This record gives sequence, C-alpha cells and structure tokens, in this order.
Amino acid sequence: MMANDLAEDTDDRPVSAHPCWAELVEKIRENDPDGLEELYRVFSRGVRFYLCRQLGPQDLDDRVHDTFIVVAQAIQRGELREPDRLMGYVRTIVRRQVAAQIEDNVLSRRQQFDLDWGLAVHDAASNPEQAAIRQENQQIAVKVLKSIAPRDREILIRFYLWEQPAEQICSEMGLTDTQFRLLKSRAKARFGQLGKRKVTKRLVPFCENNWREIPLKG
Amino acid sequence: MVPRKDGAALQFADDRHAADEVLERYSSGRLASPELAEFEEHLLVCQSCQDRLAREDAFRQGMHDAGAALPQPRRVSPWRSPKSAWALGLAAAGLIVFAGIEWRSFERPADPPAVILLRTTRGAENPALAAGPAGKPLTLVPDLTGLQPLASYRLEIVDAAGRPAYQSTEAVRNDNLQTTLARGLPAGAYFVRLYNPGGELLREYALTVQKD
Repeated sequence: MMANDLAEDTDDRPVSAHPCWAELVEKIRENDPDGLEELYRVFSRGVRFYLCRQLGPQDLDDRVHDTFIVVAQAIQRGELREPDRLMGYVRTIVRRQVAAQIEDNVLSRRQQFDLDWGLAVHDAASNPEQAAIRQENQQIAVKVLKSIAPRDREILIRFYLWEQPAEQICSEMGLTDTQFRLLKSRAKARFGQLGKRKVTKRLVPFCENNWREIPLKG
Repeated sequence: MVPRKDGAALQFADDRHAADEVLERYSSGRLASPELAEFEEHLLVCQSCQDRLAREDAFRQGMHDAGAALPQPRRVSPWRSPKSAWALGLAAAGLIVFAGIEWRSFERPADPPAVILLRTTRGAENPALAAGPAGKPLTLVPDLTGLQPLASYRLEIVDAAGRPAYQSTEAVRNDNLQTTLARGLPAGAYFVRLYNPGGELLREYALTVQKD
C-alpha cells in the first residue's frame, strides 16, 4: 500500500467523537470533578504531544499539569465566552505556555551570562551512546536512500533536502501533480520498508532463534 | 471540507483527518494560518494525526540525517528528458569551448552552502541539535511552525557568550525563510534568534558549528 493511501483511507473515518464542548465547559465552570477529568482525558495526549514536540521531554509532566490548571482556572473565571471554541482556546493556552517557556529560557541564559558563570552553556554534543546511535541511524538512512530507485531518490531529496516546492519538482522532472504525489508516497513507503528491514537485520543476532539462554553454573 | 486553490483539501473542518500533504507542510513549518490553527486544534484531539505527524517528523529527520552524510547530490532528472538533455548537451559543449579559451581565468567554484534546518523540536524522537561545518558557507532554514506568518523576519545569531555574530532581515519566499552566511561561522555554540519586524523575539534555535 502506498503511503498516500493512508490519508485517503483515513479521510473517510471521523475523528473519535469528542464530548459536547458546551456541556464540558459548564461542568468545569461548576468545578465538577467529572468535567475536569473529561477535559484531561480529551486533551492530555494532544497537549503532551504538542509540548514535547516544541519543548522536548524535559519537565513534560509538570508542563502538561500546569497547562490544565491554567485552562481550568481560565474557564472558571469565565474567560472562555464561546464554549464551542474550547479546542481553539486550549491551543492558545498551550502556545502561550510554549512561548513563555522559550522566553524564560532566553532570559535565564542571559542572566547566567550577566553573572559571568563559567559554564553557562551546556555541552550540546551527544554523549557517546547517543552519538553512536545517531551515527548508526545515519548510516542506515544513507544506505536506504542509495538503494531506492534513482527517480524516487531524486523526489525525496528535492522535496526534503532541497525543500523545493511541488510545482518546481513537477516542472523540472516532467511530472503531473498526481504523479508527483504518487511517486513521493511510494518513495516514502519504500524508504520506510527498507529502513525497517535494515534495522531488523541488525537486530537479528539478538532475537528469537539466535537467542541462547546461558545456563547458570552450579 | 476546506477547499484550497491547488485542489487539495484540509479534512479537519468536518471531523476528518488531515491529508498527508498537510502533515508534510506542518512538519516542515510551512503550514500557514488559517490552516495552521485549524490543524493544530485538530491535532490536540486526534491521536491518529499525532501518530502520523510523529512518523512524518521522524521520516524528515531520517532524510536530513542521510542528507548530511551524502555527498552533494547530483540532479539526475534533466538527462531523462530528451529536451533537457539536448539543451544541456549544447550548454556543455559551449562550456567546453569556453573553458578551452578561458581556462586560466577559471577559479575553483566556492563550496555550496551546507543547508541547516533549524528546529525547535527537541522531543525524544529528535534529540539532535542543528549542526554545521565551521568556516564554510551555511544556509540556515528556521522552522516557522506555529509562528504568525509574516512577510519578513529579522534573524540574529549570537555566540555562546551572547555576542552578535550575524544579523539580517529576510523575506519569506514560498513559505520558506532562509538566510545564507557566505563566510560561515567559526566553530562553537550559537543561538539563532528570530524577531518580527517590530523587534519582538519570536523564537530561538540552538546551532552548533563544528570543525570538519
């Protein structure tokens, strides 16, 4: 199956039903524990995902918790005037949290420099294990990229590395928009399959049939 | 659905999932308002799109990892098109003649700039900071995901001690912001700051420049 089929397949499936926002907002306004629980259930994964993507995993639980407190308190203060806009409101709060955290990082770094601390910037280099993993991943990615069809490779390189717009790629490679989408999806799927295969190959010595339990002495 | 000029549609307005193209544009920081707001709201409550975006981010990272290790890739397609092949063949012949006449005046062309994608992503799946080679031309492409789209941004690069190393104002082209440092930077840790035209700090990216 081509990667693009994923979107086409999923397009017809509705997103899992979410609650009536007006009822949920009303419950939160009344400080009903069920309402707060439901708010957390509906948004916790998404908020966590967004925060992690923007700020990284550090202090993630605290950040998610802080976000929910801010959202719940704001609703209780009546700051959300249109309950149907709850999703947009949560997004705004999360974005503010991200912006505040970035601003905070910048300020604290400046203050550290003002104090002339000797080691104000942490070493950005990976530790040896991370560096080894990264190098391995890089090698796999290069091998996979080299092993796919030249045309597929060119599409991926143009799109992802050179960041060329679709129109330019179509025009320079003589493709229609549909051909471009299909070829790109196929190339991505192929890259993913080969990548998985190469990773699996590397893992083979450590799995299943090759695994030998070492008997305990005595 | 929300129809777009190019015929693609954003599927989240009526509780449906986002198309791959939308995920790709978001992952690369090219999704602009109002689609950006609509997609991010959808993303907050849609596990399927969160998973798909995580895969797209990982794929993009994999491609950039591979790209960093590959030699400057050759563009292969023009030779496949007969028209382009003829045109390129003639151009090559012209170049050979010209080179024969003016050989001595040729200088070795400058290194192509290393393209560095600056990301705010520092999640578990993508722990690496942006890194580039020291003393070589660099093209920096900041990730604009989540920012208010503007016609231009001011970029400032400071070193680890906060001393300004570079500054420019760049216009957004094709939803893409980039700046090229022809002389590159010396090895060290840097921070790339992005400001709006009013001087408000919007984002900061870490950048490591390493000796080859």
